[in-house]
Amino acid sequence: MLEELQLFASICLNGLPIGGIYCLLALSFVLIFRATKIFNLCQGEIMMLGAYLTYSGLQWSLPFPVAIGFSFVGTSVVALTLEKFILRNFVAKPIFISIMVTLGLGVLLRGVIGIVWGVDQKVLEVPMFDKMVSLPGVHMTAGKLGIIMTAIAAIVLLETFFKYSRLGMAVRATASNLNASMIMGVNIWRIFSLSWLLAAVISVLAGVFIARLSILEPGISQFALVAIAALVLGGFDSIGGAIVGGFAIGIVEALSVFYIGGQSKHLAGFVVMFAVLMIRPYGLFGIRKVERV
Amino acid sequence: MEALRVSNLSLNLSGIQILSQARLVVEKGVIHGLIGPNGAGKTSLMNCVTGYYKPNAGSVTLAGAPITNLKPHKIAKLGISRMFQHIEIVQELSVKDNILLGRHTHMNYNPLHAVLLYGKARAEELRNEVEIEDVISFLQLEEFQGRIAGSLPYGTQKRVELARAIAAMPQVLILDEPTSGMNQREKEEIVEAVLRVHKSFIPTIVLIEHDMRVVMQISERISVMNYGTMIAEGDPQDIQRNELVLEAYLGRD
Amino acid sequence: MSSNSSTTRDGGRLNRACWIGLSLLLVFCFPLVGGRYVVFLVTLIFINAIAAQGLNFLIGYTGQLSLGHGAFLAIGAYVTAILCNTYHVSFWIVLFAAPLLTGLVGILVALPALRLKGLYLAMITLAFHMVVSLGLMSLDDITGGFQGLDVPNPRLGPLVLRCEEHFYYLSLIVAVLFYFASVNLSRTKIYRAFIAIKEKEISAQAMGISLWYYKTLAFFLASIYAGAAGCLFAVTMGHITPNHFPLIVSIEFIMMTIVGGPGSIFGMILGTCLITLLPYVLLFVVQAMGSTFPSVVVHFADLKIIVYGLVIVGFLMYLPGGFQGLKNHVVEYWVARSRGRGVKPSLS
Repeated sequence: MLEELQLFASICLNGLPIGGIYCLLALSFVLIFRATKIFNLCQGEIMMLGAYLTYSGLQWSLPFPVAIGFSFVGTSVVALTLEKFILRNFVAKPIFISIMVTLGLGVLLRGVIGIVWGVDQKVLEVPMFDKMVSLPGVHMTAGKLGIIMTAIAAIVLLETFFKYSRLGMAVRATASNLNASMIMGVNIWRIFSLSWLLAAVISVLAGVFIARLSILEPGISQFALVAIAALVLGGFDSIGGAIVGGFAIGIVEALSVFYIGGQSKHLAGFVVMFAVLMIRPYGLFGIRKVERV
Repeated sequence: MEALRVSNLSLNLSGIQILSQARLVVEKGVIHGLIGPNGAGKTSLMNCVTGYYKPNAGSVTLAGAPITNLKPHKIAKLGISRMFQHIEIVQELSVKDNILLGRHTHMNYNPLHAVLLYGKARAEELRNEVEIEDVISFLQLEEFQGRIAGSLPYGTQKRVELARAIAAMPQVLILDEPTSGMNQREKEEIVEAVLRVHKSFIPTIVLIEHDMRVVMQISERISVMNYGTMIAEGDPQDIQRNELVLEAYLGRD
Repeated sequence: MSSNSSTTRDGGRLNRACWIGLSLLLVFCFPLVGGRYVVFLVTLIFINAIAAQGLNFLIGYTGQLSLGHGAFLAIGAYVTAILCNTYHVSFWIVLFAAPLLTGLVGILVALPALRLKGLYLAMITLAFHMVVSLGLMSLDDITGGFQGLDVPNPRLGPLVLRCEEHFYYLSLIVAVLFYFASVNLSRTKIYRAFIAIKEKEISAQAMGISLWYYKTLAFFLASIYAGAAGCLFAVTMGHITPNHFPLIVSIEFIMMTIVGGPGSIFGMILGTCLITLLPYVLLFVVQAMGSTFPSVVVHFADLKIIVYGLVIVGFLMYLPGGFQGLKNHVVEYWVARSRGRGVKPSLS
């Protein structure tokens, strides 16, 4: 019995790194959705771009921090371009339309990435990733621990930013009432750009981690779709929900792979997403909005 | 004979008491005015009657049959039709299709008939197309029949909406501020139209209205609401002289 | 396509019957002149047109965005394959059973649809697609996993359907039946109820329209159409694998809606033709360029999805009503001009 429990706990622990990645991805969805009410379905491709740019940086034998910095810049430029020249036209339009637009942009980006980097699998080296770390009770590689720490740090930093900084408050104001904050003199376009920028930076981190944890190939954009399952659990506009949902999905996947098996570990995530939407349509923590005549 | 009875209706939405013990009896064949200051709960009361809000207490009966807590589409089918405060016609459909939408509950055929479109479905459609001809000519919408509703001016859209509500041939017709946003001339047209609807199509009408002159002109009975409850009821002369009503509208000095 | 105004109905009817007759004659004779490959492509158009009309009930009529239409196609195809291959059910029964079973699954998915709107509905249909397509790979004892399943050639008594022409005629007949079904439907109270739900969901109920019933009906119809298309797809291909139904298939159907113009049957069919042929036209171009730029051929798959992305974004930005919307604007412009008011059409 005790052994089974230990096994169970270690499987859960195993799910945490991938859960951390889902946290980061979910966070990047939330950031954009909260401010702009656009659900950015091309986030997975932006994340993939971040990973590939880092890979290229390393290929040019840049040191790792420089390579990732280069990727931050490159990915942000692409994300901001998309926001400014395309998605700005769809702010305040039905969400229906922005979903289709971002879906289209995602497909487009995937094609471009395929042409530039090819479709073969690549290995992205992250220094110190496989070094073992032993903390009391925890025994895991530095990389995996790093992912978990990054996810938690990102969420803590963002929460602090939104709560205490002037700009952060402006973002929250825009999120709760676009028109009112515009009248109050908030430059909403700057807020939108900022949200996309933050989401891009976080996606780069997630992309690098995914590429290192599994492999770098165009299929990894699917991780972003699984991250939507985390969003469904946590609520589409809650930063705190992203962390709960992300880790929960990570653990569910690890458990399903161990206990059920199956060729596709992502299946569990989508099943959870489907089931939650069937039973509790507005997420576990979401609030149902009442419409009036 | 009473057409509609609301007894002791209370409604609480997210902690705010919208209606408390509201009562209303609408006699058959009467234009019944419902007035009251902004936020008095007139529209909320009608939302309860038509099933959009679930009242916390009280009951609604239509010609004696209870309709409290039924779904809006069931209530519509039982014979309450409603014209909304804002334009609620379907912009994408033609005027004729919009009016046919009012006949929805009168068409009895199932999707299989519709897919095959022979016999029953076609006959029902044609029958209803004939039945709305009266309403169309009554509201002088003939020339607009084939036009897309969204492309018409505001006043015409309102007329289409009225036509749709009439086409349903309900037992009770609820008109929620039909003259809002209209100029004097358009208001007079609506007043005249409502009177004619009363005479030749639907005898029982509940009229929510802000414009006192309009209400006094056409209502036979008037109920006055304030703070979610009835403060007075009577014929227009009584209401004009009622102290409580004057107070509600003008405030206490 | 809304119901015709009665003034033009009788005059236009004869004219229209002529056109329909002529085009039917044309498509019936087509396999006699067309090559095998072209006949196969046109068969695909028929199949996709059925499925796209189904999606039109959701996106175009009731305004419910479904990202999982390809999954219903997959269900229709796999039901066909499993019934024909594993249980040896006669194809002519399967031709009815596959759409109906898919329709029942559609009702299941529709259950939460009444409560879900916009983003949530899009997400549950997305999840549905992923569950189905990953599920097809995982349940390998039923679905054959990655290998997929063979679909035996359908037989009716002595007649065995086995070549492109046969499948062409089969798909043509089914497509024509489904086309008339949707045209008929577009002249009834059901069409009006659908549009009312799309535009004015709340007040539609005051007209006696049950949201639950009509939203479920839309999903049911959509999945019946997809199921029929999937069934035809399975027999036409002869072998199906999960790779036939990736997420991009759902995206392709959405593209057909966007390009043709949501809400119009004519637009849907035009959109289906264009989007079905798009990859093949592209392949032709790429192969033509291949002699001078060999690298282009290698990147065909990527080029294809780049074009897809451009089409989606381009249409939504510059032509949101699709070709049908463009046509309406042009017609409006000429009507306005002939009335003597020189109003310019606006595309926004």
